Amino acid sequence: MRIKIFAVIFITLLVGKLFAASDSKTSSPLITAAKEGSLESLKEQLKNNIDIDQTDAEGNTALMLALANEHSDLAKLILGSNPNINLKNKDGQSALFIALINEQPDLALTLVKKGASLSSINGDGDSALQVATTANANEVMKLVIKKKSSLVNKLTKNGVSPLMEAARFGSMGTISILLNAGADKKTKNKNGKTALDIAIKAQNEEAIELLKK
Amino acid sequence: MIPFRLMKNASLTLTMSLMVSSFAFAKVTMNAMCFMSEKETAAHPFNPTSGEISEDPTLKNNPTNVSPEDIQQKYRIASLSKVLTTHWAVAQLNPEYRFTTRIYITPGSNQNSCNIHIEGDMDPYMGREMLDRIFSQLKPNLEQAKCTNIESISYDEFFPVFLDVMTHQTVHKLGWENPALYFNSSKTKEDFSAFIKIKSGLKVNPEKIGLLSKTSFEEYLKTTPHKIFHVKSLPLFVMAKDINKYSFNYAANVLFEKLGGKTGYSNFIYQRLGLASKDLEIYNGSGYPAYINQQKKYNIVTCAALVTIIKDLDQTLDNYKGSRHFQLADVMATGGTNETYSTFKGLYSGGTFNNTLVAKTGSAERAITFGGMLSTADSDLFFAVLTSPDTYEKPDLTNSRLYIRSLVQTLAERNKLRKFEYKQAGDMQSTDEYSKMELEVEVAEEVKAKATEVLK
Repeated sequence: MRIKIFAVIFITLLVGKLFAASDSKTSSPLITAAKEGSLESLKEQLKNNIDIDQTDAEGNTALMLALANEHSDLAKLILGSNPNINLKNKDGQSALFIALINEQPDLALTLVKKGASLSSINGDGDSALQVATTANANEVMKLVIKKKSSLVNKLTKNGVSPLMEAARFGSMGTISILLNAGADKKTKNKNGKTALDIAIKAQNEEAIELLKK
Repeated sequence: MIPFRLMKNASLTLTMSLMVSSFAFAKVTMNAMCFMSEKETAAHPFNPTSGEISEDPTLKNNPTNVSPEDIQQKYRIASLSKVLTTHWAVAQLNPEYRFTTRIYITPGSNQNSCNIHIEGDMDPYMGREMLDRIFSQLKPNLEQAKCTNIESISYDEFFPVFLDVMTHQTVHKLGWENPALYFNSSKTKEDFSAFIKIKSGLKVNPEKIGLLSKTSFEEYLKTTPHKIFHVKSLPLFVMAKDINKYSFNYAANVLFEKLGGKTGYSNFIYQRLGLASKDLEIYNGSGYPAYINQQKKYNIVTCAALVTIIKDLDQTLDNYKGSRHFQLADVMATGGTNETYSTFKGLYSGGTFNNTLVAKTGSAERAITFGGMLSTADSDLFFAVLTSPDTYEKPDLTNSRLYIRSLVQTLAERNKLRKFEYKQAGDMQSTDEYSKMELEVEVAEEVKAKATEVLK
């Protein structure tokens, strides 16, 4: 019985994979241009009255694909065509999340300025501040805090605060921004660790210095 | 082997899907992660312990299962290829090597006329700035030679020109992915002619600008009086750092071709480290998919071979006896906040990695990779992480980066880190004092006449 269930699910996965593969081969010119970084092709597409928010099989818009593939010039061009910046792909990721993790803080800042949603920007439901913290995108952090200061001490569903994230992955600038915004140093995660405990384990000397004050 | 691996990973993914079926986070499946200390000769697979996993939500959602066999399997390495190109260049040339471009002035058909020929050295950064420097220095020399009319400007096949080279943006429309097109005559002619017309201030018939092969020019030179000037590029280590910081495809590809291309690399890496086709297949210097005979080719390398190469790069730099001591940080980007730019600056600017990490990212068509060195109290630790999500059920570019960062952080936390001494030099300038044009040789009319006599 177990083998049968496994076989059925495995075949379903395989068919899904084949379907996805076939879908990617028939991507629209806009999606292909954004993915491959073809500026000329994108400009051609934008001349026509196309749907700028069309998606690939994974629910990625042209903006998301340009950001994920680090084609910042294309992403800027797409942003000029007023796409819906708050769409999410099938993994629950918004363009803001993709910009932050793919090392494009300037475009992430533009998205926040344009009104990107700040509450839940990925499949985990993480806030824009949590993600900007993990990416050490300091200018984005400042703007997000200005717009929604309640995010400073918001825990993820795994019980991690922005300050805990910064204690492990953050620079001095990142930690300072959070502390200045009122981040609580005493909060503990699900394993009973404070931000300082996490910083010590991470050998993050800058964080240790600031958190001990 | 591959169908088995697919099944193995599909079942792993399936198991994970069942465990967290209501969870939207896309799975990132590992191909291989490995590490090797400077004291060792063999790489080890890396898997976080259950304790380490319990501390990291990203790892909880993506358990690894890297086996000793996995690290001997070839996977796409994407832009980590640039580290291989750097290794080859440093070993074959040296960190302080400067590319020498020679400029020949020969007499024209009339008095007060001359021809200019450029002999290239495959300088990967021959762009607008360097050409400006060359031609602004050439003018007084032409005046001194009483040349007021330039009949022709030629260049050989080792003179790639890319005017916008300092922007670090590779032009895709020229089909640069094909190694045969990186420095082809049409691209050089297009960029070089535009420069001559707009920026040089020289008046030359555009039809008289073109390619003249190195052998043809050498033959012509045997009986022709001439003056040779030269300019030198920035040192190789500065270029390598720039290539790796910006992950600049064009310059990496040109450098790779300068060193000998695909066949040259196979010979080099076999002779140097005994690595053969079972360990790697390299088609270009950048790691962006190459088009060879209309087929898309990916650079694929085993994790074990990759860390062996990074370790050898480190040791080659360490052993080099030059104007000063060199280290990996001289040719690759560092972690922390001090780098002006790098492709991993945001995710790795935490204090943990401040002068303890030297690394390179890779990202090409769903293959997300990372590799480099962690400096620990015990020894330097060379590592590589290879994910290639399109091998598996669900491709995800973005979570891969977070996943890799969690793994590298975990590897770092497992060791006592030691900061290395390194002061950032800032961004690369386009030219320096070695770009000053120097007269190298002057062969006068009477000498040539004698040479012609002898040849007869």
